[in-house]
Amino acid sequence: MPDRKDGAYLLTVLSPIMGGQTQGVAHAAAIRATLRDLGKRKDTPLARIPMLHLARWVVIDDVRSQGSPAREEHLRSKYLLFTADFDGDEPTGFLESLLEAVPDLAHSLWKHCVGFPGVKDRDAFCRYIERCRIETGLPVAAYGTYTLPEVLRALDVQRRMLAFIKSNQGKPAADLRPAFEAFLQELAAAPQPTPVFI
Amino acid sequence: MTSGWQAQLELADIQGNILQGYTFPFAQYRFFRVDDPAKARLFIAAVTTRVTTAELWPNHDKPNSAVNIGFTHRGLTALQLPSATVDAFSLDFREGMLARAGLLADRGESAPERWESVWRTGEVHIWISLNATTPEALKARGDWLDGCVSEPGGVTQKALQDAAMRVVNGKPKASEHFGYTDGFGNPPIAGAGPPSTGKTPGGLGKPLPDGDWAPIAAGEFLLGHVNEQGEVAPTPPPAGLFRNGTFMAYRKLHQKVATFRRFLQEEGGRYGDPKLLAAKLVGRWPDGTPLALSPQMPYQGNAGVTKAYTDFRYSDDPEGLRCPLSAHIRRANPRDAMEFGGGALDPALAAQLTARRRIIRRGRPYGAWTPEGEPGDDQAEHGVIFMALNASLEHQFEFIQQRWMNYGSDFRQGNDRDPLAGNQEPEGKFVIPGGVDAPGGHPPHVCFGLPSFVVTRGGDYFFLPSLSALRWIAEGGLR
Repeated sequence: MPDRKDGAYLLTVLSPIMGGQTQGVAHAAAIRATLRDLGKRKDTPLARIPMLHLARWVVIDDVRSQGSPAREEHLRSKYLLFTADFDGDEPTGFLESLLEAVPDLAHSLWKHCVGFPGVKDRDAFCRYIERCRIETGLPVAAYGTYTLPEVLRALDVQRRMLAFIKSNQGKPAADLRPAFEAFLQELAAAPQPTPVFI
Repeated sequence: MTSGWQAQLELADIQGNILQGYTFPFAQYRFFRVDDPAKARLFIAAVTTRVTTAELWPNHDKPNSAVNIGFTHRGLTALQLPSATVDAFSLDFREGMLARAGLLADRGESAPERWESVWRTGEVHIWISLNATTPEALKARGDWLDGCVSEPGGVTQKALQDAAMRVVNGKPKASEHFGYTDGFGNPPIAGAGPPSTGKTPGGLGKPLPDGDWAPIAAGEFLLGHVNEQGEVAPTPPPAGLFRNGTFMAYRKLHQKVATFRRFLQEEGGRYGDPKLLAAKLVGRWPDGTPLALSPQMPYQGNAGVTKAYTDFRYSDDPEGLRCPLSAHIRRANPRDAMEFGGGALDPALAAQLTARRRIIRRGRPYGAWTPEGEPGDDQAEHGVIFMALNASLEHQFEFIQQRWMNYGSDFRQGNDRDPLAGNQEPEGKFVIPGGVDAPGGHPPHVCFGLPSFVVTRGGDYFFLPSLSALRWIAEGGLR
């Protein structure tokens, strides 16, 4: 199953973008404008999706002729590429979270695509994505064997561990031991960290 | 069976100091701007008659000086070569070092706006290096070069950089301003001819699974030759003329001797052993002894040990107990020790990948030496002229600089940077695993607030053409 790697699901979706324009702006250009605005933000609404490692949208205009002997080939339309790397065995839970977290964003992007049913009907949205889904041929997961909460937890432990080392390294063993025990308690009591925008 | 040692390369067409180092102690680098292309080509023609090639010197016939030449992309453009040639160079070279400063981590003190002005104005077109056995021979060769300039004119000298090895009791030493012996790791090149010892030097080149080592494919360092991937990278037209050329990253790297010495004293005190800390930063003791082979003490004064300086691997030290994973020489050339998913070392794959990320380092220290025991001066003019030769600036020099010197993920070191050469962020740190470096072990240690010890003062990318291409350039690119 190339869509799955260890505990991660790697979703690849290609949605055909409508030809022509809306309100004087080409559909593809409207998607690009939305994505550009998203890139300017200091945070990301995608951080609200609990199992998501990484997601991106890209407008694909065309592909150039390839192969030998060269033969001119073109896509039948522009496409909106959506890829996401999240914890799970299948996309439904993730897509539901996506709709819950960023319904307006999802609508503002996919509304320019052929056959998009909108975001109100959850099942219809999932069916639409499934229709546009292609197999991820070469999956590369950021943290294949770790879930997002585990990764966030590990980073938090690392940060706290370094702070502990900074204030304790070089101390005699008799002082180090109680300090380390206190540190272990601090770790056990530390809240589960939430995603941040990098 | 190592088949790479026959001299198959066209040594008379390749500039000297690429395949093998000159080992001349004195050097001078001159930088010129092209004012008049026609006259500048006459200047290049005059210099080309004396350009030193890669031909091997019979034992007693070593010349007392050597001359080499290279061009920035602006320089080739200023010489009015055909745009079919000029436009066909790779993007890294066309952009030049200034435009690439972001990915080279030249920020803060190393930011381009603080570089020496000659590197910011785009006026460096031609690099000429003079290497010599004595200051007198260097002066004579410099006078000759002045003559080459004054006759046709057409170029203006914009900068001159002296550099020299440290001479102790009349003998040149391969050391730099922090006190380390330098220059062990240059790879042997397939087809360049036999090394002086007549056998494959252990530890140089590419580690093979059977314990042997092999020279690196010539295409990693010379255009127009097969590289480690089995491919020949495209060269600019006219086809064939750009064969045997190479790219050079020239960088003037200032060394903050006072900061370095203070750090060794203060952090070394906390670590418990300043000398061992100095060795952990680099992966070698100052005399060059590798930690991988002798983690407890340097060879110097340690009689009876086998003095191998290069013949080691890292896959038998996966945790960095002897040589830290972040140590400078382990980052710059990880040899057989990298992970590829799964958290386990894959020595064969690491060796294959590392062979595609090698550079040849030529260069010399510059500036006044700081006597041992003195605190040193961060402002004093001293450092190293770093020159990296490779077939692809992007895939070799820039990759090492960006991914291995200024990032740590490939070595399980997160965002940590190279402790010696990295441009440190405020939270920069260096992790030394505890281990086998002292009888009874040494506790692990983390150096926090690591300062930057090296500051970029400027530099650029140069193309060092073959002799054939040089003559073609001197003729104005006529077919």
